[in-house]
Amino acid sequence: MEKSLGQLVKDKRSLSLAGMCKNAGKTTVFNRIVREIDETDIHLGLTSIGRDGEAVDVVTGTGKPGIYVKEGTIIGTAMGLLNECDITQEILGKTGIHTPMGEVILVRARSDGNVQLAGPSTNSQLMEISRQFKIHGVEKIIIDGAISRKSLCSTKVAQSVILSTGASCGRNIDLVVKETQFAAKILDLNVTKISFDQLPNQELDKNASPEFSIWNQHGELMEIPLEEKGFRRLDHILRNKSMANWKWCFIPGALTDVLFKPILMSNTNLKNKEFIALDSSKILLSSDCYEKLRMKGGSLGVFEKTDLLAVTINPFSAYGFHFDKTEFFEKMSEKIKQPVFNVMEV
Amino acid sequence: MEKLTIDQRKMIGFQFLIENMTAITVYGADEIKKVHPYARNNKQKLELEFHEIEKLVQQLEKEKKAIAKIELVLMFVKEIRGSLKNATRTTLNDVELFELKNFLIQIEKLIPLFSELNQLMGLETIKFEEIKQPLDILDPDKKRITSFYLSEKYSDKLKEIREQKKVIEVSLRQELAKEKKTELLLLRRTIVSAEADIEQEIRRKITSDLFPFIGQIEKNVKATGRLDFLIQKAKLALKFKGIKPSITDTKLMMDNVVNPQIQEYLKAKGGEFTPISIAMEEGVTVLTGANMGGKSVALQTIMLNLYLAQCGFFAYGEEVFFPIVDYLVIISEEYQSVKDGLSSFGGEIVKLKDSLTKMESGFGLLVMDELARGTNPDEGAAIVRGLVRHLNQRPMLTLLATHYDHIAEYGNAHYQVYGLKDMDIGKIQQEIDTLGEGRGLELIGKCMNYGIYLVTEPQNCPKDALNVCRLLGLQENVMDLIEESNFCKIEMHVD
Repeated sequence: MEKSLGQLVKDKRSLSLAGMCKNAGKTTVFNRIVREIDETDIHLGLTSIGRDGEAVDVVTGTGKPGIYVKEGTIIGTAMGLLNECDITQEILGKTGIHTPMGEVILVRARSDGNVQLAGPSTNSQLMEISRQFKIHGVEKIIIDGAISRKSLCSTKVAQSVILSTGASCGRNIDLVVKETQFAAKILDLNVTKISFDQLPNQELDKNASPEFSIWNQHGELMEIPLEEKGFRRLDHILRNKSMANWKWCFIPGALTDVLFKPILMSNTNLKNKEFIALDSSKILLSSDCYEKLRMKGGSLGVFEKTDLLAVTINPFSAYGFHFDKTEFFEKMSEKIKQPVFNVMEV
Repeated sequence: MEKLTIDQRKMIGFQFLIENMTAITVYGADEIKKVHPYARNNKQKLELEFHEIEKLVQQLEKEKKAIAKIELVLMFVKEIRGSLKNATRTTLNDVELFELKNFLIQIEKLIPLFSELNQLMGLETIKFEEIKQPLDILDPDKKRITSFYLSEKYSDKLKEIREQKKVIEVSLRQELAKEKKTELLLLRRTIVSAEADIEQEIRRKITSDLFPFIGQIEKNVKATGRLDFLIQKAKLALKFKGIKPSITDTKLMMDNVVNPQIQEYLKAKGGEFTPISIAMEEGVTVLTGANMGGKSVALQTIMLNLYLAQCGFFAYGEEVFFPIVDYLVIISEEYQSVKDGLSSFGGEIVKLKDSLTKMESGFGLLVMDELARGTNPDEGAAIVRGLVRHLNQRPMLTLLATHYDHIAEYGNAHYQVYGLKDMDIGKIQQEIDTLGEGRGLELIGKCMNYGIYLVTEPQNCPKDALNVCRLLGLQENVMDLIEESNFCKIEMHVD
């Protein structure tokens, strides 16, 4: 007997939901998990990263389906959305974090009901909300990655993640499966052999380490040649004569196509070399770039591994075309080692 | 008196002290922002302020625990002025009601803590108002929990409707059949909307019930800010060993005053600040001394302590007697202006002219740091001499630092910076020789005595400038020619 979504997240203290696109069925997953957890009397705290642009249907003026929570749940949401929540509200505190829809307020549900979530937009703000949640006795935090792309939160905020995908992401079933497979692969990257303590400057939260850190095959930190310092041209650095023996390269901040294209197009030797990101949320590479990197023998690693719990699929598209649910499910299960759930059946 | 400009406050080291204050509440921070010199007719208020600080300073160490308790409560006091304003013109929402409730809960905790402490201190300018009534409006359950919700205690109708809602929600939890579920959800929606109406009615009622107490709450806001501010003032006084200044009519007397900013700076470099003593009466007090001698530091220190006292802070030294002034005018080349597009000399003269007009009424202090030093020495000296003759007749205080000759004769009193006086030049020379010329400046700085003394007899022109040149290793042949042309020597013969 396979585990249900609720069972999968049972021991996780924090969970974030990521969607490959809009209408991937994230809200359904969210509701399902909340319902299952509610049966267990665990104190639940809910918030989201930012807010989906189309909060309210501009044509009909009706709100999007909210999350239905049980009495006792604590939510962190923007002041401007409190009127949209139909729970009986107990205001617990102001968080001091501001969003375009007002300050994020902590509210305890004194009845069951629908809530709308719009939370902070940065990881450090999410960490602050998590801290305040804990003060109010929250045991498990679920964060809705509201923005309809692969918006992830750092492992510092959420230990584990569930990825949602569906027919709304594209017309071609194989392409959707491929893109999802890639996203899952990035989420499932292995922890690098370099230990985090080997980083010269560890104040990463404050973006205090703008320089790359590079190690040779013995795991010794290499000195970046003076003439390349401060320019952030990674391709130049790696091709510098004195860096010939590099093996690992840590990139502070995001890993983007812009950063990688010059490296991939030049004749930089990438065989058995590894690029390291802080965690998967920092990797914004396209699947195309990633494939090229693999072909040249390079790989990616992270300091902190995300725990990808499951992938959910939604064979129905908001745009009118649908996938065959069995085909979709089978193709996805074949490519992905994590459990796959059809949101229509959970 | 007008507030000094930010540049001036920085220059005299006042801003440094302000930045050393860390208010706990927004209200305290506002008080710090509003710091302003007291007016001449507010003598009693200013004296009271000193008295209040003194009472706090005396108890601060002894009552550390009690103060810490108060500060802990203050940490939870949040900004409510926006909500208070809203209360007078619209219905408050839950978050605003939450803010008010929270504030009042903190005040309720603060009142007994403060009154216990105040039995020892007897502070007169902080008065909290009883807030039980407005708090009970916001907390009908009287649980004094900081969270806020529209309790069923407010209305039976609300209680009833919430019970109905609960019944539906409970059955919704168990219901599995889709149709029945939709039906229940629809029913719930009607109830929720009725609940919302009742809730809004209650909010309206609470807001209007609170209305008569707004004045009272505002007074507590004020008292909280005052308490926070006074504690910070007292802490600042203790931190740099402040003393209570005394107010005089026209005399300015300072005994061993220091400038904490420069003192800290010197301490970090292993040096020590030489305290300054001065007594000034109406007329001109002239301060002379060599370059590098610390005349500017002396001026800044005197101005700082006067400004501190007049703003209602403790001063830093052994004793400070000061008159409340209508103006404190600073004329110094360094702080004007290139930005105004005038040459430094032009800038000084324009400022001087404006200031002379301004100083025709009232009583105040004019401080000039090396006026006209940018122009040729003969004319410059003439300008300063003439000005001193004029100012010495005026019913005001003037403090003038200069290194022109024959200025002091026209003034009321003459102070001089010790400088290298009484120092064994030969010995300093030896030290420089052993340490290397590169460290000459540093060594001279260390040997300089920055203190000032009252000159009672006509003085020889100080030779420190020449000594400094020599110590810094100016070429021997040039030195010889300088000695030969020493104007001071020639003049001495004439005298």
